[in-house]
Amino acid sequence: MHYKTHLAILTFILTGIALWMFIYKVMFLSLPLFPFGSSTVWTVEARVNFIADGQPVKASFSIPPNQAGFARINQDFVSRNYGSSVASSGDNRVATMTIRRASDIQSLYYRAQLYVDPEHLAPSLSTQINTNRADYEGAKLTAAETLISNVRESSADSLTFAIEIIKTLLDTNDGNAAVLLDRNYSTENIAKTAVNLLLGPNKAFGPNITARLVYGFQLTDDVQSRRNIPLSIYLAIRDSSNNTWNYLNPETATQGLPQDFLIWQYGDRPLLSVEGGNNANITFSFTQRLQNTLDIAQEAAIQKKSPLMTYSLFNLPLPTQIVYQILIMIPLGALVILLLRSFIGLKTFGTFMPVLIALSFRETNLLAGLVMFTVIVCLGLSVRFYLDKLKLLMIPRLSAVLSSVVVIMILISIFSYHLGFSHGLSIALFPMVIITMTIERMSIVWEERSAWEAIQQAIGSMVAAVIAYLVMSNTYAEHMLFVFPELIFVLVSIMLWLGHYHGYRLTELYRFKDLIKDK
Amino acid sequence: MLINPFKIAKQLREFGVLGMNQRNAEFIQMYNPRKFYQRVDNKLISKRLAIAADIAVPELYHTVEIEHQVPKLRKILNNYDSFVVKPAQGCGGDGIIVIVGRRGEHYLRADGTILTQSELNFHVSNILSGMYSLGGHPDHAMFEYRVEFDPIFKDISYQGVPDIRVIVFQGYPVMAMARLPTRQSQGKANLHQGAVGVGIDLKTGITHTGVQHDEIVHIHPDTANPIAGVQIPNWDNLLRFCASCYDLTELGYLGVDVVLDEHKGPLMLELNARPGLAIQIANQQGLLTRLEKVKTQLDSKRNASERCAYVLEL
Repeated sequence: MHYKTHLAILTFILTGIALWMFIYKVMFLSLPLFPFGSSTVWTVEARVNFIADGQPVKASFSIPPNQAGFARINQDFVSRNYGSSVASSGDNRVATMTIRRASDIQSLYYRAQLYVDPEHLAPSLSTQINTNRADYEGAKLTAAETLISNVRESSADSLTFAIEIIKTLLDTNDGNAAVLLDRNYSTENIAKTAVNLLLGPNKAFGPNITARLVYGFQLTDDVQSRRNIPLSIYLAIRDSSNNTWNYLNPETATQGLPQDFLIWQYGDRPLLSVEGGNNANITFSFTQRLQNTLDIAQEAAIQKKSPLMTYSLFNLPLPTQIVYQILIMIPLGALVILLLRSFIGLKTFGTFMPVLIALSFRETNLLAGLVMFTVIVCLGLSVRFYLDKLKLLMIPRLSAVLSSVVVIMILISIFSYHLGFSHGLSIALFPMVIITMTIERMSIVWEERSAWEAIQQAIGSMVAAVIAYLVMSNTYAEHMLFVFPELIFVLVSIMLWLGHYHGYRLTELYRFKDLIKDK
Repeated sequence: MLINPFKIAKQLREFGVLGMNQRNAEFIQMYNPRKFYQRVDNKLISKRLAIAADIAVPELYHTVEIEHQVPKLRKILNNYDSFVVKPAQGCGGDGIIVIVGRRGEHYLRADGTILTQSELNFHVSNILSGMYSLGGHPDHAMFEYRVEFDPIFKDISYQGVPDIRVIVFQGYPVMAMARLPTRQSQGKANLHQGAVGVGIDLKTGITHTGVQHDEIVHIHPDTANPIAGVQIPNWDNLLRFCASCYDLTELGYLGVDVVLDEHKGPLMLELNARPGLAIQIANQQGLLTRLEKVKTQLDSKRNASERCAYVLEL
């Protein structure tokens, strides 16, 4: 096989794998393409209070079910010594917390972190729901029959029918409604009565519309946090024609849930039940905070249990992650050096020495890094030239220069700290062995060629380091490589192809200029 | 003046100028098998091969392989009035010291400075520790005959030893230049250090324009004598001499460095697997055109004389 075909196949496979992983991560794991931006993360909390009887306690309460529009980052229970479990019950999720023995006032907490994600899809809700319907008798039965037949005449489908029912119940002048509601116009009573009427009381008549209550509260941007939030009640009406649910506000008979409405429970099952305790109540609160989109996406992606996330950098311990955040930029730096050397023709000491210098610039910041690097190399060179007089062999001399470099670095750190420059401290990250070799190489070039040649190469190395630093510290590049490390394969493919660049280097155009001048 | 790099690149390409990238990829990598590099990178091996192939080289006086031998140097060197110390695996002429005579206990260097025995010993120790070798590998120091160079370059060189560099591609000499030491190059025939490279007409062996630091020159910067028009004696012979170096190294893209000794004629000084590109400026000619012509002849089994004959007819 011709090596170019080989190269084409290799780079095609590498790039293909990388792009496949990249697209998968962007499309299915929703990892962000941009490092900037943050979104609101809501911490919702339910607090259950009761007085325990000194017996075994079992507290069950609803927690927010999986629902469209909200993605859950994580959830946890805070309680002293209670065992906790979560079970599904129909469309709801119920948390059960138990303890062998408890007395006195007990406080249990459930906390979940959510963020608004319009693309988050909920599992489809069940079509068969069990709602207790109350049978009416006597005057209430007559009132219900009359009300339903009146509404039926002025409605077209189940939704308008439900709206009309609520409107009628809200009308305090309507006698039938007054009878059905026992003149109790509380929202809860209206909502429950409306559901009963929609389901069809007494089974014998009625529209047989699937309906249920929905409890929840709205997460509002305008306050940082809110405590003791009352649960709002909404009606959920199922449209059997397309299997969707419509929501109605029982206070206004208007359609739809408020924006960012967090459903806590479907149906009118009890929100909270406590065995072995009394005076139980449940209160709700939320706080909001801004969080980096990457952290959110990363946590959400881990929740998806994709192997790509399980075996990713995100799952490493944080200190290791930080190390890789830096190391992962090295291939990019190498690519920069490749371009500078093969295409521009820049001369540097050691092929990749500038990349390592650039890495340390990340910690010191550019200007301070440049100054300190120059100082170390200059002092190191003077030590090297002095040691030359002592007629040492190479290895002992190199060891001595290396030790001097360490001492110089310590001195710079101490002095700059006392002078109040904190940059001096990060000097410790300079690659001292590399610097030592640079000093040795530079002094040989200095003696054997010329000081000018040595300085020229040193400047070339610095220029390369600065350019590599500017590229490697680019926030966008850092983000892309850390979140999508597979892009390294793309970089490698580029390097492999650049390996076949046989054309002139930019400096050669100048070098050979005399050859074409005469023509 | 606005410069269009693509236009310049195109002109250079038309002129057949070989660039660094192309030299590395299409010639050095393609025609110089790694396994043969030792034959040129280690001057002791090149010398041994050359002697076996009857190619004249400067006589090897002595080699120092381990530190232990260094103190014995004084006694051994007593036999030689003048000599050259070299690292066996040095590159670019680094670490070479030329001793032309004695001043009492001390040595006299080519540039007129004095070198004491302990300074020489220290230099040899440095060579052994790999200070001048590629990659810092431990090295050997070699002491060899100091060339008494042919006076033809006397007026156009400053101290040191002028030599002749011939690029030999698959055994065919394709380009030649003389390298003249200058004050700036500290007597070394190394273009990087400021020596002057003078193009030599391949057919006649007569020098023409020169190059110093990639700039065209017509006179020697130190002696101010014109560098063009010098006839290299026995040119055909020298070309054949270089062409046969291919057979002993089997390296397809080779730089052969030859010195002209007043008494011994051409001596092969060293071989180079990565010869530089400045020779093109010295000759005012691109290498590619000639390299491409030779490429068409790769199948023909010619001996060194026949290859030279082919080149001379081009």
